[in-house]
Amino acid sequence: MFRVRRGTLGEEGRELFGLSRRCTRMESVLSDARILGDSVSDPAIFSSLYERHLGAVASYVARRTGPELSEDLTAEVFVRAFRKRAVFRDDHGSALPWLLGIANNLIADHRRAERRRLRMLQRVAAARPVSPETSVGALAPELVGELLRLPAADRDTLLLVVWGELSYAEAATALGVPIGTIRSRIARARQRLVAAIAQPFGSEEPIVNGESHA
Amino acid sequence: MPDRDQPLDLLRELGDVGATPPRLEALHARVSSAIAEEIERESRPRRGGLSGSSPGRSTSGRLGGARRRPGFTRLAGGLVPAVGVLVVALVVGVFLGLRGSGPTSTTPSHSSVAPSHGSVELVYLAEPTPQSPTVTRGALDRTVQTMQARLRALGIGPTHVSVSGPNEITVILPNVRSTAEAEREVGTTAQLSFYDWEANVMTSNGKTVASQLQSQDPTALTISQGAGGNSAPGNPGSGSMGLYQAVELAAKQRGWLSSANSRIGPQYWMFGAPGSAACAAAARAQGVAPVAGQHCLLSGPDDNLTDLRSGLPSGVSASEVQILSVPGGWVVLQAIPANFSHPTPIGAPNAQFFVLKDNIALRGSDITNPQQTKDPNTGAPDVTFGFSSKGKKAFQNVTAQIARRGSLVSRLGQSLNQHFAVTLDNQLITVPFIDYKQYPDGINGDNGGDISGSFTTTSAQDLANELRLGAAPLNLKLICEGAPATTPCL
Repeated sequence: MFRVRRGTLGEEGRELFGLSRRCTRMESVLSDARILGDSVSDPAIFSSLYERHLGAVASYVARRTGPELSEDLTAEVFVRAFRKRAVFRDDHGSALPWLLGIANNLIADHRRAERRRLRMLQRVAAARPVSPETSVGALAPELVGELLRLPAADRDTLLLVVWGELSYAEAATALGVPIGTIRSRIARARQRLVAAIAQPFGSEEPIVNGESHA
Repeated sequence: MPDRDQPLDLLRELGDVGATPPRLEALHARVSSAIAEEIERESRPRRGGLSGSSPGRSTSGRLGGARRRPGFTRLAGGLVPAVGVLVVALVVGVFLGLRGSGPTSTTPSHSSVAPSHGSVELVYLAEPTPQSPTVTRGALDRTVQTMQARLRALGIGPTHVSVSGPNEITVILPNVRSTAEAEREVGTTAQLSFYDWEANVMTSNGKTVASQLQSQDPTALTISQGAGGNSAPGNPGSGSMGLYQAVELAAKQRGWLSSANSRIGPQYWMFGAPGSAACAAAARAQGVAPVAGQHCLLSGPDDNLTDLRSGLPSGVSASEVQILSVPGGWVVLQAIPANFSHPTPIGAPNAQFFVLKDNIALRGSDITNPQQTKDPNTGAPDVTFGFSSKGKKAFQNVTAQIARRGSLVSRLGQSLNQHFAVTLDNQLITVPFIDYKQYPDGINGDNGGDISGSFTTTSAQDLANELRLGAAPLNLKLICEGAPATTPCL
């Protein structure tokens, strides 16, 4: 199952329809770089950039940190992006991966909020199956528990793709690592999540700091 | 076994649980006002820079031209021939060389490899100094202005220096080849300090040299007057000691706090015992042979234990080390290098040190307008500077105090001229004397000072810039090197 959000397709959707995200976004592709470039001499232009990406950044940040912090952090993402606008280099890409990369760095500073959010998800999922039509719905608490135990880099990567809706290539841009690294991190994370919901035992194990290294 | 995509689908759904859709209008207003504030902030210190709003006012250019000349002529004509005490023999490369000499000098906390092209981002943590004990917005702004002035003076293209957090300054340099190059161009604060030498330097018994001169204590006399031959005061061999001995001596002192200190709080050092496995492992990691019978420096100096521990060489276990803490109010200074182009690394077995009470008479912020000039007689590049009005007074006072002590401790037929020490960070640069007969009332600072030696124009310019940045009210510590487009710093 996949969902289509904000006119862009999820990873699976793009694969399904044989589309690359680039096609769906050709217009933003050219103009993000131009907006950022022009905003160096005319800072007011920068507003076009956040008008375009505000929703996507805000959703991602809200999913990762919960609603309390998300407005603060989203505003901060754009402030930082503004300060760095002179040096956005990716002439052909959307600025969104770059923005989510900045968001990730900010979230890294709020690990506690992130843990709070994930524990909340864990409790909510335990109280009511999120998705009755999915057979694994009942196993959501184990899933979130395992997510908490993933190494931070793997979790960051996985969530950029799942909640940030970036392609692997975009996630690579956002994190500044090769695409192969993204693939291996996602594969590793997926494997652990699958194992967690296949064997929902040992979930009593205390969560130390959400950064255990397997 | 669940289907391999199930977990991600489930996760995708979970993402929106309790994450209320953002109130876009409110958020939009908020981001707009934050950006407007940024635009406003940016246009303030930058005066006619990138924004191009004031085409006729190139303030930076005028400052350089108008103020420079008179200062220069007075300095060059006045001080050098008249006194000659401030002439410091320096060779190219000393300042660059000194900075990286410690095993754990400015280690970025999460260093990332910058791409070979494009821009580099450096984030500095601004740390309080005894003069600015809290990091205020005003101090941050002044530091940013100092950095901008420095980068402008170096003629580096468009750069972006801004306050990026409550105690952070971010510098973005487009078009640099590497983080190393960017780091070099921005530079670090090189703190120039002047100390009354005999009043602050200690012998191994923990007493100051000055307090033991009247009794003509031989060790005190060696530190004050040198060991004869080529061993002038402040040089290795003139009463200096090995690193471990020096740090151990300094660590035994009782801390004291004053605005005359060069740093706030303790300084930590990590040593391995002679012949220990830790020293052997560290030597292996550094590719050198371990020295028998000597403690080895494993990490430091650092102002906090976290950094100290992170500087531990690979293969060394934290259980077999000794950590020494030098309390605030005391400094361990490396002896004047025998060869300025190849300064001895701080951890080298033959490196020599002095321990001083950290009572600065004059500091980098008391000097004005450091600049590269040319010696009027020889045409050699040098660095001249003036003293601020506070600096003039302080210079006069300290030299008068030194002269008085000279006349006091000298016995009949003896001429125990006393000294002051000029240091750059933890390195002694020169220990010149004050001729108490010629200048019984000290030296008037009106003529400024002059540092000359085997400079090239570039290295003199580098030093001048470094001193200019050294006048920044805050200390800067590099905490992140990134590439904004790919691996942005936090």
